[in-house]
Amino acid sequence: MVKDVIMDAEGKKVFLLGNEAIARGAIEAGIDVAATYPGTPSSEIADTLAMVCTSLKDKMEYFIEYSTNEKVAFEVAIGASLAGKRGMAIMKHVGVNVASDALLSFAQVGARGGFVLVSADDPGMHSSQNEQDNRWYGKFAMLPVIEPSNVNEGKEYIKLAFKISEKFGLPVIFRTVTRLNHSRGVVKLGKIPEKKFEKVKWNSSIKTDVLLPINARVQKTVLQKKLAKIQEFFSKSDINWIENGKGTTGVIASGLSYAYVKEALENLSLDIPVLKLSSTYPIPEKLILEFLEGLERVTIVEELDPFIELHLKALTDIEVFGKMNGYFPVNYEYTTHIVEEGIAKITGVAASRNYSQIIERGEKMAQLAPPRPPVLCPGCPHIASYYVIKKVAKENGTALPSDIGCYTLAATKPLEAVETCICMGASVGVANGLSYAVDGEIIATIGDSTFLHAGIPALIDAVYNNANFVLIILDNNTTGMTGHQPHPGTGLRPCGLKGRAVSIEDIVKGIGVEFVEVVNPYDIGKMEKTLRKALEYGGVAVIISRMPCSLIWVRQRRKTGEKVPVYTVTDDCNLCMECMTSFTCPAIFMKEDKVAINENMCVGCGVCSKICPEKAIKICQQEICWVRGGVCNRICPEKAIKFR
Amino acid sequence: MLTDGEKLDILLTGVGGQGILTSAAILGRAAVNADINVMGAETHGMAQRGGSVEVHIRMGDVYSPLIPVGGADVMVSLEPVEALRYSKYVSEKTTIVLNTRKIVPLSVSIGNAEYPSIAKITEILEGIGCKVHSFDATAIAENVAKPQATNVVMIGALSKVVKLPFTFEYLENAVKLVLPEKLHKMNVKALKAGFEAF
Repeated sequence: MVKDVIMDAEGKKVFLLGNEAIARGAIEAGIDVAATYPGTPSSEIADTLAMVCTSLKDKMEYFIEYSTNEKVAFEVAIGASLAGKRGMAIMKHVGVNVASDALLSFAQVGARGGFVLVSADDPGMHSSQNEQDNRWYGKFAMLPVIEPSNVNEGKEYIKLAFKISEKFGLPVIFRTVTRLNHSRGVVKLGKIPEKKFEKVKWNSSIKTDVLLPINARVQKTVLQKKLAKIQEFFSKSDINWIENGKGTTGVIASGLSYAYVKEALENLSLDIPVLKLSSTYPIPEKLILEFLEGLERVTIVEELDPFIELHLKALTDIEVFGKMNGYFPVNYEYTTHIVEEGIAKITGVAASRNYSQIIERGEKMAQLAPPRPPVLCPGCPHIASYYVIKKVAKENGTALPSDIGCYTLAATKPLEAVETCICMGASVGVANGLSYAVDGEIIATIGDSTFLHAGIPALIDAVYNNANFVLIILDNNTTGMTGHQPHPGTGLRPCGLKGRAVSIEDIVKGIGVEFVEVVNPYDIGKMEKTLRKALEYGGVAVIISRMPCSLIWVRQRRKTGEKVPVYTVTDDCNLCMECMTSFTCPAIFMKEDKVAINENMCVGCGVCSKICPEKAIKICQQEICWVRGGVCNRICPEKAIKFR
Repeated sequence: MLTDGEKLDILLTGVGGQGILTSAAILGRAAVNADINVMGAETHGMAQRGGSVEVHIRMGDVYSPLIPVGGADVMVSLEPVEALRYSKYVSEKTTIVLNTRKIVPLSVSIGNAEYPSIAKITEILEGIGCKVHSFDATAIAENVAKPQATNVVMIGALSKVVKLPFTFEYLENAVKLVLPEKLHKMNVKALKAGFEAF
């Protein structure tokens, strides 16, 4: 819990989310500047730092910002580091792709103040478009990679990462996985240092910081030397350790896989040697060779790519069991049973349970459960926008490129109004390409935060190259999917700092787009009219579909005491099912043979009443229905009132 | 208390928005306060709202946050069909606490899927050998507090049908530590009502 993150009680044990533990580690490390672009599974690290910074004012002061995108976040942290402050950039795995231009060059410059890049990988793609293994960025950029294997290590190793960064003058990649970010565990609190944030005098260092070829050639060799020293260091560091055991088959495990290995060995009643690796790049060769002495075979347990496995094969000719010879899967996240079955096969011991039989039975039973995929929320303005897009597109055979956010869920039935989702901002670039290639109309959709993140350069490209498409910016005034973080369009900043809102329409107009209209999507009729007008315009037309995220809208109205109307289905309903098969509000459901609205879920947007062909959905008219309390519940003829 | 080498694996399932993360936080906090090792794995991000949710809580001698398949000692399902969806985690040794109040998914409303009867769900789970304790937890929550307190009612019921490694007082205390003060009275009532349901 967030209040435990700032608890000044050294030695006390608390139950923290992995991401909260990482935030606490950063605080114990005395960070100065943290910057992020939110992305699951990394989001709660920065969110926690943002939530607690006001409470830590005058005690342990730091800045935290929600940057426009990951590259900017990374560069903000570079600025802090070059000034001698501790900088931290926090992002999800694909965010590192965005920041990679800065990452690969900054490696050569080197860190002055400690610099940690938190890369949260998502094995299993719980909330991501791909499953990349960011340890390769360590090898690619020639930077050290540290991986914690439990929540407490998440906190401890962040502190260590800052120390290593400062000791060797290099940025450190701190690689986590979803199951660490979003797992909870017992954390032993350390000391929160006393620190007032004080600005420092700038000292330039042109030879290292200006990567002109003449400097870069030198800096590349400097980087190689630093890395060699770190490799030595990792061979002696206590974050890597050998656990002695019997026999001639050993196991090397890194990150969360170590936890699965420990459990699997216990289930198998096996006592074999284990090497726990918390630094996966550069591979601590000396330590590994020491571990392999006396062993005939070694098993590598690591999630995603055969990263250690490949390095090991280059290092020795010992027999290796891993992904490359099929003992462990290369796709998706590991679990105890996957690791147990792999080790069982290698060692010839029987698994503790018949896992495949259990899974088969479970899957058969799960098939009886009706599907329940994640859905857009009741009152979500995206539902209204896509309802209109789908209506217009159905008639036209239109291409619908889209982007990354809550609205990507509109790709599912019944809306199916999202036809591409590739990476942040791609909707606009893809629309440019489609504009050359297809003869029909194109309606691209992108969220407000995503547009600011990476949509702007592509829109400039569209104007410059005379593309022909409609871009709908779905502006719900927040970064929704990741948990309502602010972005430049909101003007909101954490820690009570003053911000300035960047106007999306001014940006669009400034680029040179001539058709720019702002519409509230709840006004279905106007939305449809505007979209048709935009399609007729010919050229780049932008519609800003603006309505706050319904979750925020509800909260705001509750706070101000504004009445929230409840909608109800009257007897005029003829069961045409338009509200369920074309429009998809999750508050609308079948109650026996009638269409009904779940009064606990309805947020009173009223869009269903506008799209109903029979006009059968109305506000529950009893004024008294809006009164809070128990009496109205009993007298409301529609039974439309429940405690909120 | 759990002795050396002992563990208790609890799988909480339900629908996003039912407060399953809060239930897990209450159990976790109670365990920490009782000085018991505890780990958990949660669902965040894309599946947060309206989707199916699973949360693992593991107490005692464990290393990884995930319960192995077939390894759940207890399954607490806040929604009936979600118990079926995650049944790969149960075995003949599993005790199941089941809320019988349905949340009908869209797939059923538009006629693309069928919602099995509660009797059928119970029969299937009992067919494996699970001990199923089912009740309308939401009705109890509505009665003593608000429907939103269903998650706490379920924890109360859990503490009755399973021997947790700490006393009821630890749970009560954890409810107060995890939830904001204005919700304390209502949720302690819900916790007790859940305990008394069996």
